[in-house]
Amino acid sequence: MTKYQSDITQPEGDACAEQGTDKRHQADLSRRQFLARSALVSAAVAAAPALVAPRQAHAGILPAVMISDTLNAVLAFVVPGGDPFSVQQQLTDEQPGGVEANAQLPLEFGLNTAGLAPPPFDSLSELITFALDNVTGFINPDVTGPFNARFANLSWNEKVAVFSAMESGLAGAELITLANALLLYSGLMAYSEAGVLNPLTGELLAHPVGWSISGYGGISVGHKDYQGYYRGRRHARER
Amino acid sequence: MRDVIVIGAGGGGAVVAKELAEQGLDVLILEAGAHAQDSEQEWPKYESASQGVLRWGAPDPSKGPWRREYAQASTAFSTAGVGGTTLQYFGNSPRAMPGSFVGYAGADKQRYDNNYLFPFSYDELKPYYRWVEKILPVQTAALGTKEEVFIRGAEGIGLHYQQGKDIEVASFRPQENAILQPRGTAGRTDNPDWLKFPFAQGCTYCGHCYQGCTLPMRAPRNLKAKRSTYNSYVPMALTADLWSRHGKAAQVIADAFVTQVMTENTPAGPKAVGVGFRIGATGETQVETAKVIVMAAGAIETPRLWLNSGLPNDNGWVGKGLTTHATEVVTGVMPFETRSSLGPASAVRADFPGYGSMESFGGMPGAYAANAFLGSEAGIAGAYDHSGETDESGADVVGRLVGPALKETMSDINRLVSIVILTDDDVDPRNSVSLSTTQPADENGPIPLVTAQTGNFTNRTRGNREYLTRKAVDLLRAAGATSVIRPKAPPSLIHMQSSMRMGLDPANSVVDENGEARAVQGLYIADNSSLANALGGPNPTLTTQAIATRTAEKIMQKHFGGDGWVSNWRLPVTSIDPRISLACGKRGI
Repeated sequence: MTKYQSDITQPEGDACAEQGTDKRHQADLSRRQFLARSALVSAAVAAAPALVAPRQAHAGILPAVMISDTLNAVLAFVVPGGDPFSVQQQLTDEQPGGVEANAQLPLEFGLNTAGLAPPPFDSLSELITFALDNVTGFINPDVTGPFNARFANLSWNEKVAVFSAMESGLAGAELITLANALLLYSGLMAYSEAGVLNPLTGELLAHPVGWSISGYGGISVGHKDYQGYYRGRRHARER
Repeated sequence: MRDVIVIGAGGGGAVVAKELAEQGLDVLILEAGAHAQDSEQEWPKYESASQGVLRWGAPDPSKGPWRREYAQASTAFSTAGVGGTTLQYFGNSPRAMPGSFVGYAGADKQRYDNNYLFPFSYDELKPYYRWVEKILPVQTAALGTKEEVFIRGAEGIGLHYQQGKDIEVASFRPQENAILQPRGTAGRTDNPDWLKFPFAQGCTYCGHCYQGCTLPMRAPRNLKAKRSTYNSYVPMALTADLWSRHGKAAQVIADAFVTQVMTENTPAGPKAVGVGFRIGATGETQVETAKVIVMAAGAIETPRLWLNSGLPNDNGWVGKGLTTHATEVVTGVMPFETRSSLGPASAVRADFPGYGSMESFGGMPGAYAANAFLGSEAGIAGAYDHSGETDESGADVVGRLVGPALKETMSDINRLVSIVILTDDDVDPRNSVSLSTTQPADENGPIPLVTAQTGNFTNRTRGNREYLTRKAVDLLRAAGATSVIRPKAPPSLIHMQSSMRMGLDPANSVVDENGEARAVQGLYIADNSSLANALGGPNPTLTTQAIATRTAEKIMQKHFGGDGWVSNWRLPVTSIDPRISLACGKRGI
């Protein structure tokens, strides 16, 4: 069982406490250190036009950094770690999380290629960023912090409130679908090797965070797990 | 002019192509996706890399996937390419429930979707089941650790052990799999040097079913473990002249997206005469003509093609009545090792006639986290529940896991056991495949809109789904689970059937009992869309393949003056026959 520590007192009845967690430990990872770790993957990704294209060709209404900060904040929400986004949400984890998995770029790419966004949005990532920012305005409109997106500066509990509002249906069925897809994709990218896979060579740049935090042993051409046949039967009867 | 054009080289189309090629017909297969020439080199095992190659999209991985619109929070799992979705399926090949066919007289008859039964009897289909089971072949699955855990749970709740092929009572059993079972060193070692063919044969327990099956390493194409049609029926179709006395090799054109079924008017109504298709790499459009056209593009693309072709839809059932098995997922956290990321993704099941089925699943961590814990119609567990329904499954945790709860639960993937629920869901006219009116067309025409109920089920569907979910919770507890999690997930569209259903009544069916379109002569449908209903819950591929075999016979009899060939007294050539291996080698396949 993973233990967590935090010096943030949880209000009575909040979602964090109800999920059976302890206090969280504040990580001291600086933003500069985080960016340095990301540089290696970013350099490789920069050589892959398909992955970079959504960013370089961004022609929507929101700044690209607002989109990336929002998606990183979602990753920290779904799979918290010791990164600055997890620190800002006041819920960290001693094990690395979705941000440290470098999942933001593959998440953005995956969302953007999943479908078209209605104008004036350039991509589904931009639409999602706009939606999250919009709903944040109802939860904590005056939130401030180091990031370029209001959602990214929210506490973890406030992020829960944002998703609750989106999934309530009050703002339309489209937001329910968006919220579900976003959370699902975030987990998929965080726990897979997407953030450290060189798309040009097909090789890993580092051991995937998702594998480490899930105890997954890695890809293989076979395992020793043959346990025989149930009651020795190798064939089903035919009447 | 060809004898037959088959649209789609997936689970059903490849079957029709092989059967008719074996009979000596001139068969052309048009496949929208890629035709892998060397799966070991082309199919990566990494989750994200695999999704760029095996997906519903063009052969060029730098292009995004083809678009579909969804009216609800769900995504269809389908794959373009020679082999179709069988490239990524788990190989599970159970027969359908007998109660979903006309003529069933069991005591539980009233529990089935009796308004939309298959238009022939279960006994009528059995010889075709046996035929396909021999060709693939279908074999009883060996066990791994996670299967033993499931079975412990099944025994713990008193389920009967089913030893036969036909589902009769509520029961459990190892899967009847289209996977070659482990022989030699397969499953007995982790050492990759000892896991090459021929030392290793059959399933090596790699845990990468969803990433395609390229193992054992160095095995000939037709002796790879998982029997997708890429490994089985397609090689047979392409070499039919070499192993069948009267056979004629089929031809496959990949990267060929059929955009139009062409017809000509006759006094008896429209008749299919050919197809128009677009070569993805060049944008060039071509036309091929044939005496018979077989649509086998899948439960979403076949109705899309029909509608884009402007074919008749007088009774309104084109694309209507889609069944999805209204899936749900239940996961148990065990206090012992389950090795859920190893071995075949799903090798054990339980069936509940009149309600549906369930089966275990495992795999790699990204998909596991997403599928088992992150999709929910309720909300975040412990925080909010917008479903408006009280859960009665008995699960300890209901809703989506995020944050600390997700990390804790996913902290050891090899202590989890997950079960996917496959509901016998009603043929519901509200579920449909139509054409999007809000999203722009792509290069192949107007894109499909998939509408499937995710919460507003019929009473029967809801009741069946909840019944099965409760059983899954009980099973996991009996297996030793310390915590059982139910996300209340919106159904994943992993099984899609009956969107172009066959039926007895012309008023609510698109194809007749022979698989021929009622509104267009010489046009047949041989994929999951032509299934009459949800089969009672079991996985659809084997039933589609059995019916496709039968449809191939009907085509031969009606259009080419031939006789049927499936019988209880003949044995087909199996896809793992040495003659097939030699033929593949000779043809460079």
